[in-house]
Amino acid sequence: MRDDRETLPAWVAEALRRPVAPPADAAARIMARVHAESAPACRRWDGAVRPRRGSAPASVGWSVAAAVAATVVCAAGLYAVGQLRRTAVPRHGITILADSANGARHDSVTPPLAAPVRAAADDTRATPPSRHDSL
Amino acid sequence: MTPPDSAVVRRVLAGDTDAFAILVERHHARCLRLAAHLLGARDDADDAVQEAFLRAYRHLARYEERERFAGWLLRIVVNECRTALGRRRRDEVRRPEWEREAAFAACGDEAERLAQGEELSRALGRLCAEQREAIALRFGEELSYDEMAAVTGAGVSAMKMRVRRACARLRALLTEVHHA
Repeated sequence: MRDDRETLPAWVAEALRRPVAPPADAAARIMARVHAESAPACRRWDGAVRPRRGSAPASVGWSVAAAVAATVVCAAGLYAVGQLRRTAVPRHGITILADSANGARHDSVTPPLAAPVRAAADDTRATPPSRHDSL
Repeated sequence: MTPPDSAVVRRVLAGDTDAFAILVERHHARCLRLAAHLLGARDDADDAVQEAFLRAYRHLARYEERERFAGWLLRIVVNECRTALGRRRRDEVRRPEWEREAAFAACGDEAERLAQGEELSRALGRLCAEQREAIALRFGEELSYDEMAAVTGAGVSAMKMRVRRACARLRALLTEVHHA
């Protein structure tokens, strides 16, 4: 049963249902434009008309391409960061290499700094700056 | 025997473009009536319906057979009308000139009918777009609330509320006109 609040006077409902006469050539104009369009869901493929399954293949293709591109960019970025760290960080100290094959440990020492460099470093450590020196 | 809409759609999708004319013939009048209620001016309604049919043709592959074709098409018409109203940049319906002109030419029952139509169009034009949609779909197209919700994208309870408010407002507007 219809709620009274959801009703209109009979003449109003009747007027709303009254058909609107379409222009004489309305359907013809629509069909002319339809014919001017390419087929909506069909695509020529080897001479035969086959239904196209929406736009899913195209979107999947783009997604895969985007994922591959993102992976390549990330890999390149990580490689570049690794290269930078390798060249920027001085490697002095002791690196312990574990040989899992025979259980032995090999202590490898990176080559010492060049002698003049080491001497200069020792000099700076040995003689801290003095207030009198600057005067 | 006339084939169902879904069978016609399948024919069009298989490449029989002319079969689309069957769908145009079946649904054009209904779409035009809805657009006329929503937009007011006949030319605008005609344009909106034409665009809606073209859009339906372009996206026919997206139509799913479990849904009624008429409902799917009406949703496109409603969207086209919303776009047309947005282009106008004002939420008012132009008065249907063809009815006004015809009212002068007609006489007797026909004149009364046209005068009523004009009065109703004027009142509809003073409703907001959402209420106009609710009235046109509920009383013009006689859709159920579920169908209205599917066409407009709003919920069923929201549609019921819109119909109630629209009915109250429309009754008030029509009474106002009668007393004036």
